[in-house]
Amino acid sequence: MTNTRQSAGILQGTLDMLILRTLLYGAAHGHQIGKHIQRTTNDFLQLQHGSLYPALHRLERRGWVSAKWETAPDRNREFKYYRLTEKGRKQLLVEESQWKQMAEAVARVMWPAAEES
Amino acid sequence: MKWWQLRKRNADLERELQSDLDLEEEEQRDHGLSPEDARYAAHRAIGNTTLIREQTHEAWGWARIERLFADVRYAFRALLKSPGFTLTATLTLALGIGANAAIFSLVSAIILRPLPYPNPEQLVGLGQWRNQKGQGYVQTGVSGPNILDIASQKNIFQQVAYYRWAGFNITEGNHPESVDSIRASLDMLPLFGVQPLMGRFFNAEETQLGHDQVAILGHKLWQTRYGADPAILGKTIRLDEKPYTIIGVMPARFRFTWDQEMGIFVPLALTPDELSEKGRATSRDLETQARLQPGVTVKQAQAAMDTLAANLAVEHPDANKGWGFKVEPLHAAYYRHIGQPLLIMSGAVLFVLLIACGNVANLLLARATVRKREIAIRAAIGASRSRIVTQLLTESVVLAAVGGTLGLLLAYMGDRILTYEMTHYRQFSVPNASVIDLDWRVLLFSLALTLLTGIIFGLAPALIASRTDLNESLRETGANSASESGRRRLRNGLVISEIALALVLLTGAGLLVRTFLGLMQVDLGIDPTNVVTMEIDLPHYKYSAPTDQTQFFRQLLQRVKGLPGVIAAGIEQPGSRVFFQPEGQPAMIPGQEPTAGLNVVSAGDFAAMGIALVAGRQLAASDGDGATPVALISETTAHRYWPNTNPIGRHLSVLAKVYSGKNEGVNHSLEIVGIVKDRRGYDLWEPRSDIYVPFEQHPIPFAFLNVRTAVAPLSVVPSVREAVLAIDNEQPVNDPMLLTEQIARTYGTLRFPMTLVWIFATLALLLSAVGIFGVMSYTVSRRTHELAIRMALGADRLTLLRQILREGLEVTLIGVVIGLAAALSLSRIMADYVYGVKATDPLTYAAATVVLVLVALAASYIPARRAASVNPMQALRNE
Repeated sequence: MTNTRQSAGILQGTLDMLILRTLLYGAAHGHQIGKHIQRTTNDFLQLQHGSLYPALHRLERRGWVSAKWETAPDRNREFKYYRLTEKGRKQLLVEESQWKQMAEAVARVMWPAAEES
Repeated sequence: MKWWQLRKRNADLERELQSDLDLEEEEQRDHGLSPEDARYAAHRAIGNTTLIREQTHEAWGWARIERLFADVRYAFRALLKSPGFTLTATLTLALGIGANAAIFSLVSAIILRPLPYPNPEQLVGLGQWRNQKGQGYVQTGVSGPNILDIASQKNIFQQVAYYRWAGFNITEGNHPESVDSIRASLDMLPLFGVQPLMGRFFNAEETQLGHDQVAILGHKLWQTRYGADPAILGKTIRLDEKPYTIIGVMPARFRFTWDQEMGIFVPLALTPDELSEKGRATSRDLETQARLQPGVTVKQAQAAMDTLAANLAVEHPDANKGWGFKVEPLHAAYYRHIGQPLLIMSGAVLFVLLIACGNVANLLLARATVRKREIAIRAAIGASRSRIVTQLLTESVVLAAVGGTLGLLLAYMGDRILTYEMTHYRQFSVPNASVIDLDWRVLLFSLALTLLTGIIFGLAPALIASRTDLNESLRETGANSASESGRRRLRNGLVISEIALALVLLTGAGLLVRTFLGLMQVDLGIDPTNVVTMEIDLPHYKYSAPTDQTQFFRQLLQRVKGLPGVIAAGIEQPGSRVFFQPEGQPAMIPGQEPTAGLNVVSAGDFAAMGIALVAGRQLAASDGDGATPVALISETTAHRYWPNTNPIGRHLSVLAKVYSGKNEGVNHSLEIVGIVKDRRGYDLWEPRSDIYVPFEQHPIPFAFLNVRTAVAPLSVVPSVREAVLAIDNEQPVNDPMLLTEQIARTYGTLRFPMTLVWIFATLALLLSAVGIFGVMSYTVSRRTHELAIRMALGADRLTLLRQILREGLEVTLIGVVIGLAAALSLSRIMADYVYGVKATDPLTYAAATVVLVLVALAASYIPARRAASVNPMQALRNE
């Protein structure tokens, strides 16, 4: 299962953030979430279901997303749709700012010259 | 997320994953793949659904418990599928765990369960002790004045109390009834921290002479004799023909000393003599107990007592020089004597369990080989190694749990037997003997033992089984593989340890059997067949004059001797130990004189008991009151204290009783007229050193009447009773018993722990035989192929047979060597307990080894035979 693309290597917290961010557009089911992340990153992040579904259920348990079986608008079939909750919205802000801080911190170490100029 | 929603959740997840799969498949089809290829591609994209499911469950937070349930369920299913294995393993474990639980309930009741009083850790026993030259350690009670000095140490003791045994007769109605009774000091009953059920304890005035005719009833006596009369207080009970006012009733379940239910407590009023300075040396028979101040340790109390003893030895050298005080937790004082048998039994029973574990581990190993494929498949569908080990361990623990449950059933039955044994032989005298049961300690112990057992025997096989190379296992054809050698080493290791353990047990059991046989053959010094013995206790209120006592027994002996069927009759009062001085030898330091048991007997007692005369003459009718005081001594007394001279014609003077320090007016000089054979009493290990004096010269109110008969001994008891009633129509005859029965009881206390160890050793031998048999059978079955080829190439059957046997023997011999070393290093524990052999007796060790090796050979013979009778054509064709 080794490949050049970044997959299970992403930090757990990061995956949570990506899912929450994806749901900001509106309700989506598992397959859509996975595909969305994969496409948006030009297949760079290929999510494995092995981490996607446990993550979704974990987010649901924490109350950051809610889930409901609903009929899809484009077909006659029910899917389990996940929605961002109010709590999840706040969590997304928290994670986002944490990620930013982290990224800036890493950047300062990696490219100190840019900082000086 | 609640556990009862799990099922719904599961269906939900299933549906979710399925819809994802469907969408993926659709997409793949849109990419132009054929429907079939699309489905495969979708599955590949999704990956291992079982794993996803498990990981998602993890996110629910109940995964651990869920897994456990699944494992347990699976374990039961797997065990039910192979009933033969399950039955063998659970029975083996049930035996092991059950035996351990039963023995542990002994330990729990006797040692771990505190005495049934509040703050029992504060209760201590007190005694005086000295190192007696040539006699070793002597411990006695504490004398009255010494107790007062001890009790004045208020910073150490809250209360110091003392008691004496009192054998009261209740003299109401026609027949006096004897009752277990205690004379107790003021603080004795309050010391225990219990309250009377009714009424009160004694007050200070009632422990003064002349005011002491009050009594407290034991609960049982109150119920049986007075029908639990609620208005009993203030009523009178006649004890030894004196009226006592009942002032209290003890609560139910109150036990005095180790596990005794007392009928009556009366105050113990010390006489002015006992309280005077003279009493310091002559009232050492007071059984003394105390309650420590909170926070004071036994060690601190002992240190304070050491100082006190040193001071008292200076202040009162006559009474106290050489004497120390001993402080001991009361509980420990009661169980000390049984500590060693308990240790030996616990060790033996633990060994049995370990051997049982070894066997089950071997069974599991063999089973793991059979299940290789199953385990490989589990690994292939994504189970991690730790997951597989957990699953296999769960199976072992479930197995152990079933065995443990069965074992508790066995232990419950075992406890009934143990309770009977421990209460049947009074000499055990242990605390809580009547309540040996499966208490919470035993249950907890068994639970821990079961879990531990499951892990002990399950871990190694599980680790080995999980270390499987998938490809190899799935292709497995039965040929030897690399992982096989690890298993073989473990299997052999298990059998080796089993053999070693069994050998230790066998030697231990062998030593105990030889001890017992040795003690059986010990010369008791008496001839117990056809002798009945009974107790006659003349009440002092009726026979206060010594001449009356002597007169009664003289008449009685005359009548009994004349009864039909009676060959000889005698009386004896078994002696308490006395100090004596062989006359003409340099006087010893007071308190360091020789000691012996002083027995008061009638002339005919030697014939009745079958004690042979060695030298000199018997007691005669002429040795009466007023004649020269005479004595007979036993051979040991003669050898020990008149080593190079003939004691006959010489004199000895009896000084004082060792235990109490009392001197009951026998310190005139006695002429030694004869030497008789040694006797042994309760202590079968060593002959007693005895002095015998005639009752005519030393009146006694209490004696055993020994009657030797030509007919069945018990058949003369009624006529003996009639003879007694003919002299005194109120005098009871108590506890008629065959002398052989009495001796059997003495041996019974010995036989009981020995029988247990013997049973455990036999179990161990059988279990290890089964172990060897199992391993050899397994080895042979694995090697059928190899053996067949060899045979096809011309090896003859005898050679093969010998080779297999040799392999079994090799394993056995390694076990034997380790076992011998272990047994030798453990022999110290047995050293005090064995008789007639050394704890390192080579013969016993050799015999145990031979037995074990023979059993091991027999156990490997059957599989070896099977191996040698392999039909090469058939075996190879089966491949």
